[in-house]
Amino acid sequence: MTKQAFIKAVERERDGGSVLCALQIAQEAYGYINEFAIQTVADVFSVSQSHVYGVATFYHQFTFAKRGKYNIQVCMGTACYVLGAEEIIRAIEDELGIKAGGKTEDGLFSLEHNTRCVGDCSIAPIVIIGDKWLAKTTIRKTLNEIRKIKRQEEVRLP
Amino acid sequence: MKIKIDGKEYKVKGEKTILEVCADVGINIPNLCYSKNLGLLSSCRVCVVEVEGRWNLVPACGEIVRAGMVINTNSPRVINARKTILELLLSDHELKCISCSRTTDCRLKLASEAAQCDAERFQSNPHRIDGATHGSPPHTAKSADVGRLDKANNYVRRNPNKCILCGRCVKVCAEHQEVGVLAVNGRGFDAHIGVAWGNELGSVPCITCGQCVVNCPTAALEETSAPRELEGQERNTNVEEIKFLREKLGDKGTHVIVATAPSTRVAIGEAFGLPSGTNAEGKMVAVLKRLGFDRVFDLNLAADFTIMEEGTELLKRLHKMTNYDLKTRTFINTQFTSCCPAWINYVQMMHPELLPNVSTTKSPQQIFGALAKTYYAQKMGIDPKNIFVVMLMPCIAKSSEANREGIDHSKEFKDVDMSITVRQLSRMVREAGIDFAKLKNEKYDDPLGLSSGAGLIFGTTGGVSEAALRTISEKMLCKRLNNVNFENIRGEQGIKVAEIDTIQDSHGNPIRVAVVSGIANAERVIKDIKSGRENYHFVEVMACPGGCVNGGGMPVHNDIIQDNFANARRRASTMYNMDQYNNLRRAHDNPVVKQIYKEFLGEPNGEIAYKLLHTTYKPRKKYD
Ligand code: SF4
Ligand code: SF4
Ligand code: SF4
Ligand code: FES
Repeated sequence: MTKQAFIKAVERERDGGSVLCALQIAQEAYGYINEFAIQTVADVFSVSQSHVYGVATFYHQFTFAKRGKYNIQVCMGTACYVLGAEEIIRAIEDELGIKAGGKTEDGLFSLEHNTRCVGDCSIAPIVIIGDKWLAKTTIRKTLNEIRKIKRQEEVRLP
Repeated sequence: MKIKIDGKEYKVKGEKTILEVCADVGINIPNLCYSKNLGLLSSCRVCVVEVEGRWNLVPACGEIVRAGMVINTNSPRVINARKTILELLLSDHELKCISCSRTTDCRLKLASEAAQCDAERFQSNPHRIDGATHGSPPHTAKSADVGRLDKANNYVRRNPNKCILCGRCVKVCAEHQEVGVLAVNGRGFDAHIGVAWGNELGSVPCITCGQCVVNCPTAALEETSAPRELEGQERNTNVEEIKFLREKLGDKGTHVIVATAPSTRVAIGEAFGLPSGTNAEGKMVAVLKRLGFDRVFDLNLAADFTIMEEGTELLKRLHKMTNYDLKTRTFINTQFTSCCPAWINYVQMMHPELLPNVSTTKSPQQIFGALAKTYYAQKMGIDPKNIFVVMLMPCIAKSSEANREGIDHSKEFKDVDMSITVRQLSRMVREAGIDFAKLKNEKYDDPLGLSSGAGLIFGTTGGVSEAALRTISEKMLCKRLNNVNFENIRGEQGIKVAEIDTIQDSHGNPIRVAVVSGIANAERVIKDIKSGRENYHFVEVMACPGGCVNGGGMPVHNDIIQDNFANARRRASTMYNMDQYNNLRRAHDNPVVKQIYKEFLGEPNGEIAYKLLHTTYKPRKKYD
């Protein structure tokens, strides 16, 4: 999205929308909340940058650094936790060589730090990779999925 | 209507909260977040009481009493809940009460003591230090900054580990000041008061008014004086700074002088238990002498100079009011006052287009500094480098002014070396073990000790204008006024407007004056002028609501219902009384002022006066 288009979109939000909706546009457009987004939203809504930043840090849907192409969320809700979510996270960390909250060097994967209950406890434990949900998953199933993506992406490279 | 509190019946009139009704009948319900000046926050929950018929406890600060209400304020359930709530607030609190700058007036400490809390019952680490240990928001730009202490030279320092997240600071900054640089960042256990991008207050448009500090119930926000010698040091602000000043006082080779701002004399007594608004001028002078200041002077004298210079400046603008546009009715020549440094900070960052309309006259503090290091130094035969000039101020922004770029008249030394708040002085007094109330009155020293009532009322909103109008009116009319009270610009309203018949512009119109306090109100007036709805010749702005009597450096009260405005009102009315009974009520009558102009400065707005008593302003970036 060009800067102009983004400003236009935020201006549309001002009339009837909210700072929250404007931030969602930014997250969608840039993959994270950058300084330009905060500045623009603050200017358009005539509020301070601190206020917009405060709103953005309250919601887990916003991130402040670019996520990987595939963002991995391991649900840490009670049901998933009891069924081994913690071990799954550690296994993913070892597989990718990153810590929760980080991103792989090639920018392919990012691992979210603390995913709250995603609301589907009957199929716990749940891991979400990109937009794919792994239900009743295990360490093996999860790592296989990650390796599959790695292979696909390697093929795609010229 | 009739209600019952703790088994006793009371008659109540009007719409009042449980907290207010109880306070009226002598039941002090502890509360941390409620302030009469800020509207309801209901965030701390310390004020909970039992209301019969309600299954849960209700916060007394937000609940309006209704006929027949039966309230229990000290049942076991209430007392236990209150105690637990306080203990939870203490659980992640940096418990360093002994070395804390707010140890005598921290609302959290006082309430916890009264509730006989076990401060360590739930004690965990003050986790907001050095980043979140409980999982910061993912990919946060600077998650390690969560809870970082603001470094020096920001004048306002945050310590999130002493914060109870009441939200008062956020509210006062956003609503009274419309600056809005503080916000709650993060959520849950990671929530903390911060600024955009986890930065420090120094890199966002904080105007250092200190209103957040006087409204903070704990020491989570503090002033720093930031004298040049301590620049860039990480330090325990108040303790280190006071130590630094004490060493200066003890140094035989340094001539340390102090000047006391107009509003300090009517407030300092409060820090030692005297009723608010007590005139403690004599005791204040005495205590400064006991602390070892070589000379104690009155800043009101410098305020008299400000009036002479600013008034002359205004007269010039009135004469050449050629930019008055009848069609759009805008005064391109409107003159804004310059004595409030927080206001100057605001204009420099938010309204650089107004800078040409701000009076170039320095504030009393800087005029005093410049005179101290020139006129006074010469007169005493002391090298100005060996004079250390201290200001006693109701204000935090004054420290930022002392360090403002281009403010000093010479490159070799600062005009004002250190500006301390009334609170900082009261800490020094306590440290020295002086019983303030027992002191005998003493008088200011010569030659900078005589001042007019006009200089005195500078400390309250409307005072600067009134002082200037006294001088300008008599200059224009070429005669003495019988009555020099300008009642229509007195009072605590945020915006006061008056037409002054005794002074006309070059079109023969009476001049229009606006008196403004609180930056939110200033913003309104600026909008009015720009849109052509209003026009003024002279606009006085003070950043703190009510003026310096409600300054960011004033003593903090722990009245059961916090009401800073009421204290400010009492301080202001004492000042007007002192002015009324002063024989000297006009700046231009002050013999010391006349003498210094004759001996040293020449004419108001003359060459030397211009060099020493005036300054220029540069725009500043909002964000670094
Ligand atoms: S000092 Fe004034 S401008 Fe700065 S954060 Fe506090 S209230 Fe806001
Ligand atoms: S810094 Fe002070 S005023 Fe602000 S939320 Fe924390 S305790 Fe309240
Ligand atoms: S109104 Fe007075 S106390 Fe407040 S910032 Fe301005 S000069 Fe300082
Ligand atoms: S909730 Fe009532 S005073 Fe804080």
